[in-house]
Amino acid sequence: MRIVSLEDVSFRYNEMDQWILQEINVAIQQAEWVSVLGPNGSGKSTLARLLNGLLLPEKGTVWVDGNITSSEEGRQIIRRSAGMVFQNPDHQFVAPTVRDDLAFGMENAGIDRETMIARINQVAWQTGVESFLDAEPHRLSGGQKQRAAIAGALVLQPKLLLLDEATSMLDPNGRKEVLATVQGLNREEGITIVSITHDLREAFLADRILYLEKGKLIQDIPADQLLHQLSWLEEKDVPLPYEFALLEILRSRDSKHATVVEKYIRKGLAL
Amino acid sequence: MMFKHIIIGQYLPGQSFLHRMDARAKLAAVFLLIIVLFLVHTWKGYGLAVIGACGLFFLAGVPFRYIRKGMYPILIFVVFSFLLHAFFTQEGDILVSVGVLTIYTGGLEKGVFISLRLLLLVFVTSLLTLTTSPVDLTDALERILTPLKRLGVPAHEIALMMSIAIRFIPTLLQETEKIIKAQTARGADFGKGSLTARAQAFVSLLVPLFVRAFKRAEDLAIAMEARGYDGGRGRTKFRQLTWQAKDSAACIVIVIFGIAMVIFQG
Repeated sequence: MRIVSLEDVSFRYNEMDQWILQEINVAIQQAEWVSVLGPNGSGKSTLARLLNGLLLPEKGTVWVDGNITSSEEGRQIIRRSAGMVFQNPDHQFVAPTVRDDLAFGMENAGIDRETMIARINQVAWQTGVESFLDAEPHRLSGGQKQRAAIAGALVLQPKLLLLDEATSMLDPNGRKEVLATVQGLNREEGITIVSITHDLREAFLADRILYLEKGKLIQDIPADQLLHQLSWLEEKDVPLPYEFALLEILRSRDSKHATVVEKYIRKGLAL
Repeated sequence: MMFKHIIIGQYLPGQSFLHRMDARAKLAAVFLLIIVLFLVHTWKGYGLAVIGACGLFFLAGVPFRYIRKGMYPILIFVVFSFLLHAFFTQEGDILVSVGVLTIYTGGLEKGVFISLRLLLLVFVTSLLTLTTSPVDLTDALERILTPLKRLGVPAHEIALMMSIAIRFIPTLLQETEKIIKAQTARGADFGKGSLTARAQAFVSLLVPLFVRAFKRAEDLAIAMEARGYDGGRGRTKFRQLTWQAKDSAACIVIVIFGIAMVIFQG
């Protein structure tokens, strides 16, 4: 079932500016994990904001879970079905405690208190934030903050989770704990994930990878397939993590060890 | 970390009578007590006020050291206002006269009264913040201001603004610490030099702090919008304030006590 559909979408901030995104056509299926790669300024974050209705396209249409972002009513529904987690964990907490912050989105949606309590408990368990529900956000580690931010999006029971470089400010442990949570949500709960990232290891956790360049979608490929075309990423000046670079070198020499390295990479991707 | 142990709103969780009271009742009571403290002007009146404060302290079940901590910052103002009244109020009999300085009994009395008033004001407001969580306080304020919505008072917005301000105090302090460290690493010295040099160093701290605060505010606004925030329209409340009989009783007692204090102070 299709959950996201971008049809000929073009966006720029105003008529005098250059296009940030041009003629983007993408369809994302329910429970799919899609990573969006691309250099700075390629339009990745703009794409995420179009999917949440925070920005509206100048041309084309954006459909999320059967609702179009150009309608006011549609946008309100979309903000419940498309949760968003931003890059800086410190810039997205509204309330003085994690529990109150989880309630914030539900308060906006007019949900009754009993339902709020039940959902907070359920999501806290799901994301492992129950031990610090009453903590003040500034006392948490980066990984804990991002998991709390994910929980804040999940309480609205979204079908789609948008991660806008959500792990880029975290240390390796924080990154791992957030990605493990996201992987669980995708594999076990069937939540569709769209993650904007610069990190190839994170990008390859996805089922599919989109590559944006100067506002144009120049690659839309299954992650498995791109793992066999790493030279394409090198051509695009994407720095390969050492194990990916090693795999590429071994493959270019037809080495039998390439399989071992590929297995190692896939094992790493299983978190 | 310099600001790691900071307690915002100095709330101390507990189960005392004051802790369990509705935040609206506590806010109303403190407001009333503040008015009463400004109407009291005799020894008997202040004596009653101190007795009342002791009673509230007993009901709060909070260690005195926390209240003392809240009083430290204003001690200098208390001493200053005491001296000001003691030396410059020329009422009553002359008590001491040394050179140009003359202390009158009336001045001394006024000095004591003003000092007591300041200390009691801090005392009751400390009890309020020590026994009420910041979230409950802002919620209570929103509920109290709600009837004024008809007059155009943005009750929800004021409460949300206060709540966000409270939430961001520690974050801004952490940010300040980072900027201080970054600038110290590049040779800035915030503790030494003339007053002008220190003021200049302070400006170099304020500019990046403001720039970051504005960026943070913009990001937060986007994050709030992404979570469906659309003003106060149709919002429900997670935190529920429940007004009980004991809250009404407490308010009545405070009103009676306040009136009695003003009438019987002599």
